[in-house]
Amino acid sequence: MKVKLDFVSNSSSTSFVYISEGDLEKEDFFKAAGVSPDSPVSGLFGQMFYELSSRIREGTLLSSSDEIDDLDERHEFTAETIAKMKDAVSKGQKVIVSQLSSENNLPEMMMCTSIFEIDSDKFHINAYSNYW
Amino acid sequence: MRSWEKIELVIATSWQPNESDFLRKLKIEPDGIGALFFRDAFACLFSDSINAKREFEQYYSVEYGTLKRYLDGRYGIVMGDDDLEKESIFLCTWLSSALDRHYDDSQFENVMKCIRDLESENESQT
Amino acid sequence: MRQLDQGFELFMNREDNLAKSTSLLARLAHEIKVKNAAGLFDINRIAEDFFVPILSILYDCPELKNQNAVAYNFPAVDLGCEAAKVSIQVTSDASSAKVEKTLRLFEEHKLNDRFDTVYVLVLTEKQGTYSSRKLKEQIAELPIAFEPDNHIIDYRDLAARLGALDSEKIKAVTEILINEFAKQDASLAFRKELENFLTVAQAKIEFEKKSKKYIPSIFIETSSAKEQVRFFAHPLFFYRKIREKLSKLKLTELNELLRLAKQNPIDELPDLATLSSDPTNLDKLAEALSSQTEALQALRSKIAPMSMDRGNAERYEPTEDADAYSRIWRHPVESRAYGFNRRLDDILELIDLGRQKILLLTGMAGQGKTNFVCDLVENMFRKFQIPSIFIPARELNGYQGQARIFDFIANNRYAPSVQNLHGLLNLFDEVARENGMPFIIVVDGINEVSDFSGFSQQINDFLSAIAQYDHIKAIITCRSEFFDQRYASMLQQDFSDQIFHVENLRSEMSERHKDRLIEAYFDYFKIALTLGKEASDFLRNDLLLLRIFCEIEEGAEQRFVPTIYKGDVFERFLIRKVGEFEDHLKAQVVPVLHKVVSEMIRLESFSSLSTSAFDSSEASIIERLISDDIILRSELPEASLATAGQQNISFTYDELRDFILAHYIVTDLADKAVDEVSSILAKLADLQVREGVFRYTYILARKHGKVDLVQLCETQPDFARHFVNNIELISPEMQNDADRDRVRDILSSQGSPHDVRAIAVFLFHRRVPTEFLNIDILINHINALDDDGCRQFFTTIFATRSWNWQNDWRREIGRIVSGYLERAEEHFPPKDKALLTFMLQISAYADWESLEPNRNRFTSLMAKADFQAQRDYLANACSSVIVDNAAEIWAFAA
Repeated sequence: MKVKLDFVSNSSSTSFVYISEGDLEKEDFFKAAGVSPDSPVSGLFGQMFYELSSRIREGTLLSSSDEIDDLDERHEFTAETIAKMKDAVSKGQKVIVSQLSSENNLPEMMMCTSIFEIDSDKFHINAYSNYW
Repeated sequence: MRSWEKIELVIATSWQPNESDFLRKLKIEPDGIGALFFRDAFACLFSDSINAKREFEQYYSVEYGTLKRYLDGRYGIVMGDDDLEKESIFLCTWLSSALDRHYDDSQFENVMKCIRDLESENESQT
Repeated sequence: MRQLDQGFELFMNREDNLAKSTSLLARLAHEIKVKNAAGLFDINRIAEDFFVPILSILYDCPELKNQNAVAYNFPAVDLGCEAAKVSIQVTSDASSAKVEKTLRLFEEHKLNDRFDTVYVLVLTEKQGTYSSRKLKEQIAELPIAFEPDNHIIDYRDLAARLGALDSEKIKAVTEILINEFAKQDASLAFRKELENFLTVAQAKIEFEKKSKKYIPSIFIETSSAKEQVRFFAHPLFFYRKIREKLSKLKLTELNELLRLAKQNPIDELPDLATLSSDPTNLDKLAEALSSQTEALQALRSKIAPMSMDRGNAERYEPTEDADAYSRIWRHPVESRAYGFNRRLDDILELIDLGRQKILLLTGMAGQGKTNFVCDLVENMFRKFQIPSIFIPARELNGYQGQARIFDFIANNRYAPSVQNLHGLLNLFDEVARENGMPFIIVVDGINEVSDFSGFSQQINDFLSAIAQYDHIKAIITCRSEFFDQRYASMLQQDFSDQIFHVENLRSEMSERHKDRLIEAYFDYFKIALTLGKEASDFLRNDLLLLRIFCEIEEGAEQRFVPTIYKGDVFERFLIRKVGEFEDHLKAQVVPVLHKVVSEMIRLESFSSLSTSAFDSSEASIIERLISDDIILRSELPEASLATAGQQNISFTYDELRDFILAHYIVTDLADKAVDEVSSILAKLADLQVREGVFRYTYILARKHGKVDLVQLCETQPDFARHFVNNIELISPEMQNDADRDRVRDILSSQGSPHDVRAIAVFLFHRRVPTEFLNIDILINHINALDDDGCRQFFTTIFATRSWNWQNDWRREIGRIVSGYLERAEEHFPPKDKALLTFMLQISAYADWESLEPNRNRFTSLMAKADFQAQRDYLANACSSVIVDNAAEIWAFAA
């Protein structure tokens, strides 16, 4: 299959950050992604939600500004994102850093190889990093 | 043109491709990551693909004579007469990841059904 | 008294008039195609009126009128004759939809009150079939009769219809056509003579066709070469494609990334809109291409620093937030920029092709270079009416002196009277300018010019001359080995930067392409055979064999060919080749070939041979065989003074060479000097040719009943291995008891598992019970094996070479049997009882997962019909496992 040349990403894994008061809810994810629950392709996004939640559960919870500074994956986040993370931590919100892999299944692979940010009133996810 | 264009998929349809109708049918809002992924799908199927009928009429009708002969001689594609009569024939040279049939979660069938539905809606209007 | 232009004579002869009309009708159709393709549809309106007199003659409608003149926007049909009640819709839209619409409107407007018949005249070319459902429905509802085959017509139908009329009518139609074109052509200088001149110049292709070096319609687009030639040969027409690609270039995605990365976006694309109004002539085109190249190169350089393959450009340094850029954004930006520049490069290549003067096509022998260029001239150039000349380089051997190419071109009845090459080229340049298409000179196969050192200079001079003219181009083909050794200087001339070098003509062919190739060959050679799978596999992967096969089977009537016996094919082919020579030469052909191979044996060199040892009559036979390019071809000698002026030859097809070697041994040596054969075989022992020669020697020896030789072969130390490897060469007529015994021995031997397996596979595929060697031998062998014997045998023949081979042979059996059962269930009852028996035998040894399910499926099948014979046979198997398995199957089938 010819991969669209101008977006080659051979990443096997990338990092992302999840910021929210609570856990990721399916309804919120669908709403933020702009996908209707009765969409013909909702199955794919349902899977995406599932993968994302699992990765979030497996992720690293950060509880202080220092912890953020000490992160290994720090280099994968922009300064703005780091600032957002620190701000969230100070407000007592959940800040979780985790990985997405391109080798497990389609939904996770799609997220891993894309550059995106989801900003809703319930949660914020930043997945800009695209580690080569 | 370094590599010879390999055709991954052929779509014959009388539906006039329209990205917003496509997303609407898929019940996806125009912003958000839903649109991110399925815009790609639309691109590989329609905007980026080769519009065979048009290409034939504009460039290859002189050499190949008929659409059928052109599809066969240039691409090795054989199609039934009913498909050849459709409004457009798109030759896709790549498929976005959401349409990759190697994966279990591939949305290929769902998207094809969506296009067929758009086509019949279209037909019932004319 | 109508004035006819000089040069377009109205012939007294009916046949000539008919030919003239046919060609003008075709020409008109092509012109309309070209104009329509370019978006110019006025010509269709003009054509309506133009066809009125012609159609009125052809369809006997004296009052045929353009209905749109009668009543503006008359529905459904354009032309009508109320007297004959005939109506005609004139259109360039060949689709079923158009026909359906015409008929629908005809019906809606009740035109059947005025017309009994409606035709649809397709100005360009009609479809092969009109079987769309909607159309069929509309036809059924039409109050008058309408048959697509008869009522949808194009220029070919008009020509056919014309052919059935009397001389007077044909003359009348021809006159109309001639006048019309004369009017058109009057403004083009030299047009009349030019047409004749070009016709003669292009007729050189006829020889390639006769010698079957060029088989029309076989060429399929398997690489980008043809597309590249399109832009090279007719840049004005294909310019629009460049414009289209340019309009699709978008910087939005790259800029989006840059925006996220807080960098400056790339400025909007240079105003390609000004470059996008299509140039109307070659000079304007050259300007457009030149300025586009500049603009695109500039854009490319701007983007290069950001791209992965930036070459010498300095790496892009971010203007803002450098840290985030290098950590996060650099890679995606580089990817996207790379992709964008790749698209740019593609476009630049197309533009480049338009500007280049020389297309150099090199490749190995047998790649189809001649076929490619002949197809170009005959199809593309002719249809677009691109003025061109075809020069088979070997014909230049008949001319001497420095001005060979000029002399050749000028040696044409219609050649313009000019003094020298430049006079000619000036003329060609003018013609090109007037026509809006480059004048193209094709020189095919320069490796066939014998005086190559002299010619190398001449061709360079010639190309240098062409390069001075804006609108003349050349296409040169050459075998790559020859090019590298003899013509490489072409790449170091002042015109060298105007050369576009195509080195890869034929890339991988898909299975579909291969199918089409066989279809096209069979079509061309009028072969009505049906190929079995084995035969088809042989031919689809070996073009030379396919060609040889077609030559010997030319005109063959319908029969089924399950497999190809190469030995037979080669022998028949040789006989046929001999037959093509004149009577007084026939007797020399085989001896010459024998001499070639005996020399090869003597010198122990089989890839190439000098022709110095051959006298002139032998040499001329060799020349003829070379020109055919199937048996022999010319080769480069070792480069040294001693070999200067010498010619070397080689066999085109290694296996054919081996066959001829064997033929020599069997039909010549075996009678004269049998001991020599022995020493030759020994000599060959270490050589690669041994395998091929040995196999055919054995086959031919058997065929020609050379008992001593057969024995000699069979007592060779490696005979067993050869026998196994080449068993499929023994045609059914040749098979005998000894073969059967030998095969049985191999199956039972504890020897090489490879041999056992090979024989088993061979027998498995042989299903004709009347042949000596067939699947029955395999079945009988299995039935005679006890449990251990079976296990051992099946392990040998079914084990794949994986790490788990100990167990996977059973799984393999399970898989094979399941596959068989699926087909048997679909196509019940199974016709091949032997195959069924075999499957029943082996299924007893399948892996435990498939054993039971397969058994159940067998049970269902056996219950449906009478398979007593199989049942009895298996009951007598020596292996209890097989017996028990069979018993269980029938126990439940009862």
